[in-house]
Amino acid sequence: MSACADFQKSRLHRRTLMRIGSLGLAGLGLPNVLRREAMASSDHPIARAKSVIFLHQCGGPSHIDTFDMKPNAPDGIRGEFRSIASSVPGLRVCEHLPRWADTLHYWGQVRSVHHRMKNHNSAGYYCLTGHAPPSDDIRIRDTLDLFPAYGSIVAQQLGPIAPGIPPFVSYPHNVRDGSITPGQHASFLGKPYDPFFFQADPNAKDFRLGELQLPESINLERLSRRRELMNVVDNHRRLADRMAEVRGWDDLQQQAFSMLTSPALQRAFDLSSEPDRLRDAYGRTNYGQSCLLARRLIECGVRFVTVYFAQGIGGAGSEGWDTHQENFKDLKSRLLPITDQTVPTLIADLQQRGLLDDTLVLWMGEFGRGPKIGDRDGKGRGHWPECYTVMMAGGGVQGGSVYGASDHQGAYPAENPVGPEDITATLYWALGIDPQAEIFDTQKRPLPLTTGSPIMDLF
Amino acid sequence: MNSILQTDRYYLTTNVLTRLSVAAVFMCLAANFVSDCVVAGEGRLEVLPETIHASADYPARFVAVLRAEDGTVRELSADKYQAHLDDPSFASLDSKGWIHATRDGQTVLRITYQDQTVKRPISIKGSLPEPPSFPREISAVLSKSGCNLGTCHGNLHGKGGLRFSLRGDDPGFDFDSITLDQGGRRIDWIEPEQSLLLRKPSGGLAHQGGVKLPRNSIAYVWMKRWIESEDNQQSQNELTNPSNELVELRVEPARAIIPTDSRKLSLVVWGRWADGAVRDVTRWARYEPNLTAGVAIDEAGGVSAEHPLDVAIAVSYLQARSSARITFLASDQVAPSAPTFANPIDRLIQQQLDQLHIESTEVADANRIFRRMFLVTVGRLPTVTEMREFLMDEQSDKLDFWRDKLLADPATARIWALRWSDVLRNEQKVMSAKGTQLFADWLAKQFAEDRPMNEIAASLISSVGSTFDNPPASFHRTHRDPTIAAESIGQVFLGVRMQCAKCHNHPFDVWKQDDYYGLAAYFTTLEREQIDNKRPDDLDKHVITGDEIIRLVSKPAEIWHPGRSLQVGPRPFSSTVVATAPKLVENPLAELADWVTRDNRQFARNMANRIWFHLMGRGIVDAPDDFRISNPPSNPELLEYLTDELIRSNYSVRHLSRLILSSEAFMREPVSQVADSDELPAATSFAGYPLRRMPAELLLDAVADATGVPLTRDGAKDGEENHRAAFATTVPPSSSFVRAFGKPERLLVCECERSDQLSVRQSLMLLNGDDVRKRINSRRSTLRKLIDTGDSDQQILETLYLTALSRQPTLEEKTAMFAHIQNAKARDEAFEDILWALLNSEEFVFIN
Repeated sequence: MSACADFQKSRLHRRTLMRIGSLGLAGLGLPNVLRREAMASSDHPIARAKSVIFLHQCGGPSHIDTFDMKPNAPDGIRGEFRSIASSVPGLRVCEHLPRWADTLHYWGQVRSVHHRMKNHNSAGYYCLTGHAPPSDDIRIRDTLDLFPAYGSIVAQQLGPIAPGIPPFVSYPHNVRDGSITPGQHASFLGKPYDPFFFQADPNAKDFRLGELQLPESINLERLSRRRELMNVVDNHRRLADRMAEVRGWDDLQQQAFSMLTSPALQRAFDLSSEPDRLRDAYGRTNYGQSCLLARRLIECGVRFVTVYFAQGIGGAGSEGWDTHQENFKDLKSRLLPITDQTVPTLIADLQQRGLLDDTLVLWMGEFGRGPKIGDRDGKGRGHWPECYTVMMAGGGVQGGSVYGASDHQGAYPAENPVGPEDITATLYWALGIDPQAEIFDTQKRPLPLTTGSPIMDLF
Repeated sequence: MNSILQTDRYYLTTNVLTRLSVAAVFMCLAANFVSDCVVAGEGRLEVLPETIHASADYPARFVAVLRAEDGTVRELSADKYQAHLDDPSFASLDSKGWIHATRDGQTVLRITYQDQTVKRPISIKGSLPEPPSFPREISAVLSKSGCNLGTCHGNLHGKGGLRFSLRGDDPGFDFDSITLDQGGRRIDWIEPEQSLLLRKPSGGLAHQGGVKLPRNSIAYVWMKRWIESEDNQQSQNELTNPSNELVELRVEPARAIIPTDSRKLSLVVWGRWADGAVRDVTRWARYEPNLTAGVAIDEAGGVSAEHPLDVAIAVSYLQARSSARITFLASDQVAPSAPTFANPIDRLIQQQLDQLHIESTEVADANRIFRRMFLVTVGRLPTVTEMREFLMDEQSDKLDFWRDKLLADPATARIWALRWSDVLRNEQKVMSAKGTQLFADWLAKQFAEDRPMNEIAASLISSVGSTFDNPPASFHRTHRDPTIAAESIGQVFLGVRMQCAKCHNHPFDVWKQDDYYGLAAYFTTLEREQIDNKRPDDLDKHVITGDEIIRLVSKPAEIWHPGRSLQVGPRPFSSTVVATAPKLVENPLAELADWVTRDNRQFARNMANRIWFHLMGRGIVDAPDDFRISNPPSNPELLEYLTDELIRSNYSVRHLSRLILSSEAFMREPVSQVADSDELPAATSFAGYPLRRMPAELLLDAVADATGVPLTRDGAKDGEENHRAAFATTVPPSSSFVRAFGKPERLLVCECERSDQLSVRQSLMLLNGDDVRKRINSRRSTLRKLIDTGDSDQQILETLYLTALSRQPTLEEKTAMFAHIQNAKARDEAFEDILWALLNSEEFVFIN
């Protein structure tokens, strides 16, 4: 269905395109083609990311109050916050992100992302998969017709880095706004590509991982004896000798045993082995410890980690970024401090350990916030998919780069507009995945991984 | 009538095999008058096609084969036979089996091998190459070169600014794209070879897709000639003139079985146009095998296999679709002469196994058949009591007794309700918890009464009113959008996936948008009224908490057809009518139900195939809801027989189930059914019982039964704890055990929404998940009771084996288990380990 939505959109589009749009498009398109051809001859960038940490900010973070500030805009738009200088000359960020400002030279930013989905679930699905939903449905149903999460695609295309290490892990929330936001699992790619997902809070004292951690009553020795008994039973029929399915199952079981017994993976989940100082630096919050865990997982060979900032969109008193009310108070007292403590720490930590070069960190939400202040309580900002900012660091991204620009009010792209699909294409490209490779849906229809184009200027 | 003939076309391609060979023999006799063309010890010499058409632009291919007595076919390479044209002034022969026209006329081709000669008439139209026509030659070039594939220019965004319709679906669009788009800059009318259309794909300018039209290739020359001679008016005429329509596309041979000493076969493809012209399009057809590895098909239809395999090849040319199925045998050894089977199912399977030289597996142990029969009927393991009763019974017909007992068991009807609830989208958000229960109960009741399947289907399609009072009306509650309802009619009731035709004509089959919207129009006169809908979340318009009343209103049935940009009325698909005008129908649902379920052979065939699929673990057409030209039935005769039986028994599911469960095919040792494997032909021909993982709910219930710790439903009251996952009518959240093991959310009409895939997470859930671990450790478990009762190690071990694996432990197993108990610190822990090992064993997880 999603494929059809894409197709129909284009089908409607194509007749008009024929009649009116094509010459105009040619004018726009030609320089791009030429540039690409020119680039092919020069030494163009090489994909070098090995893994990804995807920081998903549910609710829609305000771009005007963070990275794309408009100090010269009129009162009702500019907002309460002042901007401060950053580590990149000429680039300024919000005064409440001072630590992030100091690490801005690691970040590339895209300031002209735009789409048309005004509801959290439809926009959330768009930014979690890079595919436009069939409609802007506020409670869009999560069906196998819809596209898979980035991590599932990456798991399917690249496989695990090391055997027995899951390629895709996501936590600590299952994002929902009234109903589950689609785009958080493997969908039609199939169960093998679902993320290892858990909802536990890594900051909690009794943090446990369900079936991924052995209970105390089963030590490794007992597990191994159990396994021997199981082999005795399997030896009776020896199904694996004749049946490829059973061999497949045995391989998976082997991986499961490795996960349960692998010191590397089990240790990765044990945050207590980190020095208290570093744990404090990340912030003793769900988000802070989740990001620390992300680094540990990447370090032990997980390819794709998604950290969801919040379970819901939030708003007043809750956890997400949906600042319809009290935009400035919420940002200043809650959202920005957590972010400013955790994200720069993550970047510095990755950098120090030499992981930043081949780890792409993607920080984004489903949309930005409206430039006009005054939503609901007079102090909030509304949903704004028309133009917002996406941040990327590491994995070959040129630190300090800025792609695209918004207009003087931060309302619409003024330069190089891109869609969520272009961010997606950039992500896949950075990992060395051909963004135009095909995947097959439940009807075995070939679908492109993404319809976007990678933003090469960031590399 | 029409529709029945049309839907029967799936069988034409496969039955052509038999007819073709009969016809070929006859032709051979007729053409030679003197001999029956049998080459002693090698088989009958045959030449395809029967009549050869060659023209200037379309050289003709012929293929000489030897057909052995067992029906296998071996292609003769050109150096093995003498080819001769009676009058060589009309045409010439090349060494690869192609005939090139030189002037108009008729002559005869003679193929001589050993002492036999076969004659074939050739019609030659050779003098004047016609100017290439856009909808024929140019469209064919775009398709053959892959320009219009989804990965290249045939997708919604095109590539590099150039867009084509998907696989040449819409030549008019492609024509505009080439000649008008971007101000016509793709064509240089003055200097044709300077056209971007030629320079890019021929390597003259950078082209991301590489060199697709090498300079001076036929395709290049056609394209150039077309640009040179392009007359817009004429092209417009050609694009719209019905005499330019391709009316038939044939592949020869459509079915072939190749012996082990041959690993190649050439296909011949020809098309017939509305104006009577016949052209050999072997070179211009696209060939797409249903296997990803082991088989190669060259540009000119030459198929070669790396190892034994069975391949269906989708053949497409312009807008027409056809297919061929080729089996490369694994062995020339004919299986030892099989016993005469009482059950026609086994005879038909054996017939195919003989053809394919595949040996069937042994009949499995009785207790394994017993377990298998429980799982596919009542959906649970036999209890230890049932197991003991069965093992002690010494009657030879004890399986028959249990088969009848199980088929009449209400649990069997509930399992059918589970299967149908999946594809009828019976989920709580739209149906409400009460509604899902009522609908599932209604379904179970129909199966418990063995109500004819066509009546059940007719009820589902045509019922209206309160979904609480009249649950079959729920079909219209769960299928709210006319297009989704149409997809369900196609996929669930007729086994045909039509989704592609929503946006464009189906790329791999004959379904048109006309068929899709014609079906959807039947559902456009429904009104729905919600009674007492108390949505907890007012924004979630998908939620309906109370009853819903479905009503038919008197208004014309019509729907917007985006391809034609007009309102169209209802029509059954595959009718010869293109699209119909909106019309006032008294009861469109009754009309549709009648068409779908009465004397509709494809409906019966789909139902027979589905029943087979659920009991045997694999469809004869597989996936069971994907009847398609390029996905033929693995054993057409068997499927037709089952269809006849279903109709003859007045659509009795129980009758057909009994027939299937009493076949030897059901009772055999398992065979692997992994795609792309050497072993697949054994599964597709049912030489054994296709192996599969236990479905999600059955597996969880089996864990509960084997441990004796029942499932509890969320918020269950006391006394309600004997909850079974297979009987649950609502769908639990995605974190649950059953969802991890593939229980569908019931949001799609596709059988494929239920996943039978394997994953690490599933393995972890069995090894270490709460659902299993807590049951093994539970103080209320069967194991604990046995220990408390004071049973001996031997007794406990036997009971655990009988409950979990439906068999006794072997001597070896006993030795190992007793040793484990001896060495363990605590006896109860040792038994927990054993129970854990049983629940994680392959034998437990797979239906084998």
